[in-house]
Amino acid sequence: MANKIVFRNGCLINPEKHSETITDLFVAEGKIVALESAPEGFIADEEIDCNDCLIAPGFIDLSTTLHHPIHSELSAAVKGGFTHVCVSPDSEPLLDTPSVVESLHSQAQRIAKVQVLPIGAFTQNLAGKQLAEMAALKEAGCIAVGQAYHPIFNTQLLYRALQYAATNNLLVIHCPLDPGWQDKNYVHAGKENLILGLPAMPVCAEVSEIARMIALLPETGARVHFSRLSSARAVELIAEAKACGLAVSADVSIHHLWFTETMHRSFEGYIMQPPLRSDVDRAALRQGVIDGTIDAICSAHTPHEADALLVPFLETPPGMSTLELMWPMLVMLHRELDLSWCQCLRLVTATPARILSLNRGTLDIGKSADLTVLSPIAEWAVSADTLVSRGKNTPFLGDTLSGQVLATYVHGRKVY
Amino acid sequence: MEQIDKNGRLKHLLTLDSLPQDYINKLLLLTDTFIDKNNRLRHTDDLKDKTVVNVFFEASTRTRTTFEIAAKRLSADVISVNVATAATAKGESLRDTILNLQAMQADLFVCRHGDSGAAHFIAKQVKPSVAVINAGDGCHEHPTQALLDLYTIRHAKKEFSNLTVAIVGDILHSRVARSEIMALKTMGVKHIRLIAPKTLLPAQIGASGVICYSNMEEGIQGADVIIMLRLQKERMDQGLLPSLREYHQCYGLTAERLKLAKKDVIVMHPGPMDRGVEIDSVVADGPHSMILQQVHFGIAVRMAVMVELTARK
Repeated sequence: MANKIVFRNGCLINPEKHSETITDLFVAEGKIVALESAPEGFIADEEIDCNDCLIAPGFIDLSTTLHHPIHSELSAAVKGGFTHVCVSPDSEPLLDTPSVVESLHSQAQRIAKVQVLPIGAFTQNLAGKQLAEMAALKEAGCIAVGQAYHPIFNTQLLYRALQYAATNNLLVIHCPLDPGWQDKNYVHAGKENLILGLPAMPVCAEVSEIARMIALLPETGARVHFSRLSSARAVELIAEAKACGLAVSADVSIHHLWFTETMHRSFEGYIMQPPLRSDVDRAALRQGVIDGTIDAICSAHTPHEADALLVPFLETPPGMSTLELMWPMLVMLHRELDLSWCQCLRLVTATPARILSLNRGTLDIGKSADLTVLSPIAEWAVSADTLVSRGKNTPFLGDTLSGQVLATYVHGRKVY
Repeated sequence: MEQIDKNGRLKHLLTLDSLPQDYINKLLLLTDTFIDKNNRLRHTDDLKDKTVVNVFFEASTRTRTTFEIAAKRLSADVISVNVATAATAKGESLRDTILNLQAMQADLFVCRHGDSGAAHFIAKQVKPSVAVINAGDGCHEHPTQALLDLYTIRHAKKEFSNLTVAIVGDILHSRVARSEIMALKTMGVKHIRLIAPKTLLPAQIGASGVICYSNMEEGIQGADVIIMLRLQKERMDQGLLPSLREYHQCYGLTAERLKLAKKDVIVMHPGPMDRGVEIDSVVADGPHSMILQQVHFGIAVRMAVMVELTARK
């Protein structure tokens, strides 16, 4: 196995340093040992030609849902350029005890693809009634705690859970949604739904939950990351909270930057949680990404088997399979929003690392060689066969997209 | 799911959204041919040797019966499956139920389902030679009801463009109202009024070119047509209304209120009615009421739709 690798002539994207430089990158013993010129005595076991390619820190996902068997999804992650994925607490099985978390870790280690970062349950069984054993969950390797989309009706309990998370210095990753709207599938209460007549969720279902959470922060000392924002007013609220100096950060799913409520015309597309909203909301989310109000982009990867989708629209499980489409979608955004590669890739590398206090997301000398080699122009056909994920639930099925991940390395080892 | 084929003919009737005015007129003219000069329904053999299957995943008496009678008047073999108590209760999926019924040589499915979008889903599952009529899907649409209402309005008023039509009640949950609004707009009705408390109006309804009233008296002022909607009892439990009594007080169609409308106003209701809640008996049974006419025309309209969908093959 090659343990000394040189990546030749790639365009190195180092988002933290705002640098995009064509140069060589040298890896030895799992670490980045030099840039530009080889360190003394470096004899490469392997030389990789990266002409016309970008080399970026491995992507870090803040929200991936896993169901057993997980092998396909961990393979899909590295094929999508990810080296680290945060696993949502509502995965199967629920991540609410140390033994489940440890078992997930050991399975992931055996599969030896992407690094998993479990998000432990905030309350036992995610039932919103009793605090989860957060200290033990942290000890077992949870990087944060969260409730996914399971409700906590009782604000006093939420207050105490935040205090307890702060006690354990655990980040809380919160998907903001008022508890009253967490019972079934909803679409945006907007113009498109005037025709469809589906159960509708107004923007205030998101905003009121963010407001409730923000109200609790000063007195609990908790650090909260709001995941998967969907509306313009949510972006405003996060901007205000940041202006007040509160310890908050936020992400948006790549889908909400691309799609809107129009996806559901004639009951097509995939139901999302939170719903895909109006073009005004999408514009505000995009602006939030550009001006930094929104810190990161997540995949919200939610794979579903084909059988699960052979039901009427309203009964389909929400979410899309995304890990393998993140890079082509980022290429689309780069074009659409005129973002630099640094700006674009920071949202899935350096800032998620910062939010998670993870010593990753850069290509500096001495750092672990967790990186991905990307072609922004190579095209590939999205099909049930080319997707490794068991979930083929993506609206891009049948399309040919630009942007291919050519290789992914975790700690200097090729995993894709 | 596209309901119009490449020759511009209806394959299925799932929605009235973007069904052109010409096409609606054609269906209304076709409906005329099934009613004789004594206002009786004709008997034809347009659907001889065809099998019509009514698949109702939601309880319904009136709609199912009118479809059955319509199919029989056209000489079709017709069978009604009450799936609410049959296969799916045993765990069979909707898709399997439909595929099985299709294998029994169904030519036309008439479907009702509690989920918006279910008819689109069913239309996607069937083979190209099989047609699907949406007989009501969740809160989405009930196209034949809207067509029969258009037929009734045309019968009483002759033309559409100068009419003021008020729809009163639970617009939010009403598939009839959704189809109706689209159909009335397509027919050129300029003044469509919706009368309901804010809890029973869809978000951003103002964007659809209708005028909303939360005051019944203001809303029915000068109306040519009043369409009352059924109020389901579960709306109280859902926190949408405090009580039936208060609803009746604010939105019930009483003889007193009816006087605010035009002298020759017609009153319609898709049924089943809850007398004393959304409508008083004196109005429901009064001279302005077209409610039983609607039922009668409903059969002819459904005959027309069935003929249109099966003639294609």
